[in-house]
Amino acid sequence: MNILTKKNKWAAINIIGIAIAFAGVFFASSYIKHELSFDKFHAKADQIYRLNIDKPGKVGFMQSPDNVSTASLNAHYIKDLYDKFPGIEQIVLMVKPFNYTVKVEEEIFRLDNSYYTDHSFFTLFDFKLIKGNKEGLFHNPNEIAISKKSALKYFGSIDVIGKELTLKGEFDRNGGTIYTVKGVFDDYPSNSHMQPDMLLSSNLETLRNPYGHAFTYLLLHPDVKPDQLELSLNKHWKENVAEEEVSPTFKLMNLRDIHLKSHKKDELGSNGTIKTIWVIMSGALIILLITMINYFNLTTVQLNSDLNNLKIKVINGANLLDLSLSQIKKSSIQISLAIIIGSILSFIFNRFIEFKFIIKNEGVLFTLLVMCFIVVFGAISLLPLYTRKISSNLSNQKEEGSKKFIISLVCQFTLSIVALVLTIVLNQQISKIKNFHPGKDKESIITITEFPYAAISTFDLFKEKALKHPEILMISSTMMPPGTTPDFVYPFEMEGIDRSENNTISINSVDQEFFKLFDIQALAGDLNLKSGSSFIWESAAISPNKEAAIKNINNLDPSYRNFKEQYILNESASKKLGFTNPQDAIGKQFKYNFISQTYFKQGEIVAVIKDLHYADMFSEEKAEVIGLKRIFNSTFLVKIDKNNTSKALKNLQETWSQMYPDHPMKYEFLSDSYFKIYRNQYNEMKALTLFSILSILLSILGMYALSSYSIQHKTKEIGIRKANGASSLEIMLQLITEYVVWVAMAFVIASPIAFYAADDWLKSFAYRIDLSWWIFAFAGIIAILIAIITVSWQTYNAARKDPVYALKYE
Amino acid sequence: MIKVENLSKVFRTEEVETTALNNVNLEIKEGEFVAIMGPSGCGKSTLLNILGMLDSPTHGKYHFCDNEVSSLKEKLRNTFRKGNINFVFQSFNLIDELSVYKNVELPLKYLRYDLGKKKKRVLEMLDRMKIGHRRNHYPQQLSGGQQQRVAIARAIAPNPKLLLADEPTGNLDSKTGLEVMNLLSELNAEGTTIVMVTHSERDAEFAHRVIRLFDGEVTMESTKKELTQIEY
Repeated sequence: MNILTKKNKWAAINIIGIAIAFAGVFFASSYIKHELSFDKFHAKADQIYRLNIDKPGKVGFMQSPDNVSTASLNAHYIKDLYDKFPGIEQIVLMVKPFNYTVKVEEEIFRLDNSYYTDHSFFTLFDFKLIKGNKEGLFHNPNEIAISKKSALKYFGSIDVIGKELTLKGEFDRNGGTIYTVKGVFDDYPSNSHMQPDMLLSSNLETLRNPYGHAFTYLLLHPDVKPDQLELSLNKHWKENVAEEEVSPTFKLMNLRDIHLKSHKKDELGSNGTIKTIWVIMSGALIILLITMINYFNLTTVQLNSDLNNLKIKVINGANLLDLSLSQIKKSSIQISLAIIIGSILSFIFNRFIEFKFIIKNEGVLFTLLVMCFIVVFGAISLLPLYTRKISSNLSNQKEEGSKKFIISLVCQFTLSIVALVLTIVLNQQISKIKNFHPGKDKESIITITEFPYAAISTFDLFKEKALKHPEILMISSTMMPPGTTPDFVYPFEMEGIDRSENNTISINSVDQEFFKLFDIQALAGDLNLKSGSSFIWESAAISPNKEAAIKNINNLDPSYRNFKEQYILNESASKKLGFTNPQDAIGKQFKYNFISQTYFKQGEIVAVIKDLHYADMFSEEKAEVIGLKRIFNSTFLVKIDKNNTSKALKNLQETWSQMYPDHPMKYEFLSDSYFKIYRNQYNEMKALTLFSILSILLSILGMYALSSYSIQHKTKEIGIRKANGASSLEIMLQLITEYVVWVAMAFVIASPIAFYAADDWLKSFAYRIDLSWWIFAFAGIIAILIAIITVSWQTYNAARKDPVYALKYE
Repeated sequence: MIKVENLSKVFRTEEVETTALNNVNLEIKEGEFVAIMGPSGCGKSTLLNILGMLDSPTHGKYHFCDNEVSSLKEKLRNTFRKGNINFVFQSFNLIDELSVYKNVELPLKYLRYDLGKKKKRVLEMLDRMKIGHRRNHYPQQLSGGQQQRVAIARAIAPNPKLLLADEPTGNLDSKTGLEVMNLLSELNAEGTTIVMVTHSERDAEFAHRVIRLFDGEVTMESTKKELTQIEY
């Protein structure tokens, strides 16, 4: 009965271990396969490249900070592609309409995930047209191809060919343009970097509008080397910009690489990273290795316990093949059962981690993995049989001791400690992220973006109306949505600093309430700001023509002109400008030389604040001067009562639709805005946390099994020690110490590996946590505690064993 | 030193009740060398285990150095045993993973000897048992006689008042067995009380007194003088 129980215990441990490993590996490989399969479904994928701007230039008025690289190009750079580079066989432009609405019957929606393009789109990219005629698409203006999902959303059916929708841009005065549905395409698969809801017909001239930006996809001739073409493209533009201008650096990105390798400012979707794949793969590999070690150890232990039976079989004529077949029979039952449980577990993992891909239609991968698991674990189950010769001589063979398992135990714990350290580091960095950006309570701040210009001009009125609702606590505005950095970099003049064209600084803009809303204190100066320029004054002053602007300003009522320009520096700017003490910057005269020279008047530096960290943690904070300019402020920030979120949101939306009925409000919680930026890091953290917990769980199972085997082997030794005066406590401490020493050894091996891996992961952040010693110590202590808890009960029982029984044990 | 009154030991399983010792009475004085003899299963080892406080009796009293110890809990038994009683077993019971030195050091470690004193004592014991040159070897590298000498060195290292030997020559050839018995006699001559379980009449001759057990009961006690008169 006892033997049966023990065997069942080993079998249960094996099944649980393999099930967890199968679930982890299946989950990880589905995810990795999905990530690596992006855009491969396009037949011409290997020849399709997107032309990106890797480093912005300074051409005409297009000047961006150095770290802003974009996926789309200004049309200025597109026109030469058509006739100067014969290796380019086809060009497809996709232009994103800005601030458009779509009207279906009487209902108005925001137009998101939609692009203007021409017929060439349908010859370059693969897609499945469910309704309509592919050849006839987009040869005429005002045609639309709509995704299945959108057809169902707008019309409730996919039989929509010939139906009409009205598209209206914010400056359309004629009620919008009617588009006719000419095609319905199947929703793009989840492994497509673009997920268009609607494609709108346009012509080349419109797409090459000199003020627009287009995502530019090139079909290269099979003989063209992309590196060579990239060099020629860069050379061409370098030679074709004015002497004082700097041409941008262009980069060709293969369609299949976009998802994992491209992280530009204006990507079409949320891209992944190779690092995430590495993290998830490592996690799954750790689990697989630990399980393999456990399985090998437990099979060896089982073989040891079964040695006498095996010998009797040999005496009675069994050969190695017979023993192997019997072993395979036993192990295949365990492996099969484990795979069934593992398959169910993988769905649970997916649900826990909430990755946006679905483990289904993975029949081939599943079958392949099942076969691999059967072969690998089947082979492992035979290993002990082949590494140890079973002889019929009953007297010459002893059960193997437990020492040979030490190495595997140390390996397991090394892997677990590495996983644990990385999990702590990732969690620490994520918690740093949470507190890094402005806004203590990010669930109570709403950002409103992509609104019509009219909303900027009537901001005060909107604010007044919205604030009548007590759940809406504060409203402010700023230049950029959270997670982004301002694009404007221009020269400035400052008291005490020589004027130089090369002396440039980024400009940001906020309104009076901004610092209160985020609870930001001044490092020096005063953040109780005056109201600044009025919308009327700014409209007059923004003209790039200086004379016209001065004339416009002079025509205004003097009351609009009598405001004082106020500038605020961030800490980086204060340092860049040479102030070691921020207080010294206060009161200094400053003027920002924007492209429209009258827009910023000369004014005073009124305050210095700590760096805002409004963008992301991946790049260093820029030196930034902050002004109060209404026209720049294309993001509204609304602080609401978090205990009354739904009411606040409802009232905010009502106020918005009363004021701007043609433009549905696009809003997002601040917490979600930042979550999107770090989506990959959150995914890595969640997956690694799960894998780390599992690896520890598996190591516990392994240690439990091995320690029970090893302690059983020590029964007689325990008796001898007791006969020589050892107390139960001393025995227990001695047994526990052995395991603690092994885990400590694992800790010593794991620490440098974990340090290297964690340091490498953190490298992508400009602002990162310190890899302090306590993280490693904490992981080590946890591992040791786990070891102590795992073996305590068994050592307690062993130490309390009757010495008379223990001494008789063989 | 030892006084046992009406001592019984009953082993109970779910189905069977076995009386290993039945109303045993005996007394052993300090400095005595007593042999316990009897057929297999008569309760010799059980009696030795109780005398060594590895086990406790079901009934009866056991006085060790005027202390009643039969009803003591394991922890207290261990305290009494430590340093006062030690064992020599038929199968030597050395720890395979420990060197000869470490094996001998074992009881001293649990008695918290300081390092210098411990080392001195271990080396002294090893020299005495003529096994000092093998101190860094492991038990498997030694012959049976050498292993038993290590076991005796370990047993006498803490200078116990009582040495309990369970078939100490059972696994040895006659020559080596004789050497071991001579060693035990020497120890006894130096004042160590010895109680030895044995099947060997020859070994029993080294004892001052022989107690014979049968089915858990003392059937005969004879002194050395009486013993030599018995004809086999």
